[in-house]
Amino acid sequence: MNQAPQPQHKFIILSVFVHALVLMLLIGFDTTQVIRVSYPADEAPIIEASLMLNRAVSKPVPKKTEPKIEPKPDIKPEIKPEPKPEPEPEIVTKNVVEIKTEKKPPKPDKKRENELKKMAEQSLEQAFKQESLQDDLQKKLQEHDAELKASAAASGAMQSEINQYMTALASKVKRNWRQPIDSNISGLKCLVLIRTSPQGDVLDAKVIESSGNVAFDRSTEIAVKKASPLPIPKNEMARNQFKQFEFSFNPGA
Amino acid sequence: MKIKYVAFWLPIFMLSMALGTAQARIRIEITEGQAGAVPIAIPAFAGESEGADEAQNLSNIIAQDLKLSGRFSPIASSLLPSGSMATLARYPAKEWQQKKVENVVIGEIKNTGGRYQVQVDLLDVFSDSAAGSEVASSDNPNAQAVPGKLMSKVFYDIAPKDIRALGHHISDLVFEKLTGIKGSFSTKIAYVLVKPYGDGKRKEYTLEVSDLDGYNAKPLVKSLEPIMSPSWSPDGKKIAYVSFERKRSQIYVLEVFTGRREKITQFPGINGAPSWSPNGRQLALVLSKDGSPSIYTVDLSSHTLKRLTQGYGIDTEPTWDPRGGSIFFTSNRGGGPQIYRTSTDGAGKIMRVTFKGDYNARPSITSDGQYLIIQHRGDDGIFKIAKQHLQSGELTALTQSGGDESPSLSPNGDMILYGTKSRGQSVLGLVSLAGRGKLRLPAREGMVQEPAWSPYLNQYN
Repeated sequence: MNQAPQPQHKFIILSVFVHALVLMLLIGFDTTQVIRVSYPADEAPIIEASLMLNRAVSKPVPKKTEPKIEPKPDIKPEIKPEPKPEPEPEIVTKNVVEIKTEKKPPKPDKKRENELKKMAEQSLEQAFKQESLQDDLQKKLQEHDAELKASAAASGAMQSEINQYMTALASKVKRNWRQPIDSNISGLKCLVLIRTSPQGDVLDAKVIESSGNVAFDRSTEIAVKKASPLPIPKNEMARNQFKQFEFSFNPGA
Repeated sequence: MKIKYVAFWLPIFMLSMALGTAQARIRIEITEGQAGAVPIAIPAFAGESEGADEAQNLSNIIAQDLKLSGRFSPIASSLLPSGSMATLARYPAKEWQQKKVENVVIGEIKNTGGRYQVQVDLLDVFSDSAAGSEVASSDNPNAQAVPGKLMSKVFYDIAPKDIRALGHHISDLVFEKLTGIKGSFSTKIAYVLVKPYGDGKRKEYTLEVSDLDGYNAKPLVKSLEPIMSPSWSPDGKKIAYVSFERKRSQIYVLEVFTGRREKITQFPGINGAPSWSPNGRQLALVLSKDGSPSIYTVDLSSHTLKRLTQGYGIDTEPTWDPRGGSIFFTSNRGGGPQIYRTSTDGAGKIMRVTFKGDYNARPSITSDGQYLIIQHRGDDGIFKIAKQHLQSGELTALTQSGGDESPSLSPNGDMILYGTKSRGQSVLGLVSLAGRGKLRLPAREGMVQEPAWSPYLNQYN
């Protein structure tokens, strides 16, 4: 039933086997040592990090580099970041509030700009010679332009900072991940709720949506804790987003 | 190919030896998302007398068990702190973390007038209280001493002879706590031991049962004619096997604890390869009384036979789908040996299951019904143990050493025991379903063949 391999191969096989056995004995059967990389470097695993963000700053900036990061715009009330008591620069705050109520992103506010421009043109026509008014209006227009630019720049910069840190954070967790030995790791995914200190130290990392595999869930929690302190933005507003956030770990190995 | 592989790794191996450091340290630094076993610390238990019989050393038994599962990598106890259980329980989590472990098992044994009182804790050194700024930040020096978090605590009062059984039981608890999978360490294995007899021209066959790690071997049947194909009943109380003691094949069922046995079949021709049904009421077997070897089932209370396969080919090695309903078997009906499947009512179609390679035999199905385990001859002509994902048909070789045969699955479906060759001897090997933890069980005198892994046995609960 179990035919031996060809006799002429026996010696080679025996020799290879004995060598392998001796090596295994020497390295203490630590077979984990020989399996090096579960995926090539250019085929980085997908790690999604979703942050609890304000709508005002939630326009995702498309990223070409992996790992993929997709901030989810929906706000889950139970883990909403605390209201910010500190006074922000007036321009930014004003725009954020406005846009929130209108549910419009800050940048494509062309309509309003056009209206203002029209108004200005009409006024200019009507009071062609009233120079003071003209000056006033132009001043207003300029101010408004500056306002818009500043707000867009501020939220854009913040978003890009957040994205940058999410990439760094995901990559640090991945570096600290020990892929568990299991016949069925591929495609597993779990969601971890992470709380951090202002310095980025992990205060708490708990799987809130299990992959269904205990070893995988544990390995993810431990990877987050091993990665402590996490890279956290220096900008205070951006940093607030990292106080408590969800991290979706889907290495796809 | 194998030689290249060895040559490639040799320098790295030498380096790690030269540095004299734990391999884990180097490994983690140089790679990302590295697949690795759970590093676990099991310091010597307080009260374990040094220099005493290692076989009676509880911390050793647990470390060995966890290591052979392939999912854990216990740190050598020489690298670990020692002391009373209370001392180790207070040992700071940060310091355990620096030893690159994720979990710690600490314990204590007290000899109280001929009995052992044993206490064991399982700790998590990456618990929330043990990680993060409360520990990491330097502005809170007291926090540096936060110990690991207790995950499990158990007490036992046992007779000294039960120390190994207790070790396996604790291994089961740790394994289940950290993987979510029930441990298989408290199980038994049956196998056939073949030794030269008398002037050496004859052979003696012994059906033996031992612990998984080869300890506590007990002979059940001895014969100067071949004994083959042991198969456990689902309750772990009986073993069906084939005996040639009357110079022709017969199938017996043996009660493991009483030694009583019952003859089930002795038809003319082949009586072979018995396999217990999941409900314990039937055996699938191979008979050639009606022509070429075919698969039958026999009802163990009524002794009614039912023929499941027909034809001129050889059908053999039946095994049950753990959910019942169908039987997988080896057949040469398509030319070479391949695995086929048929329903147990005898009315179903026969479907071919394996398509990769020209030799696939000895089927068994994992307890979750996901994988078919087989003896497979690869394109390199070497016999190995392989798994085939039943849904996708994807086949993965688990062993490479050659001459590997007779795979038998652990009851949790996570490990496979198999027959292999070492220095010309037949020995038993162990591999996990993930292809890890390739180990040889302690060598015995004589040839060890046809291992059969028992179901779960209720020893401690």
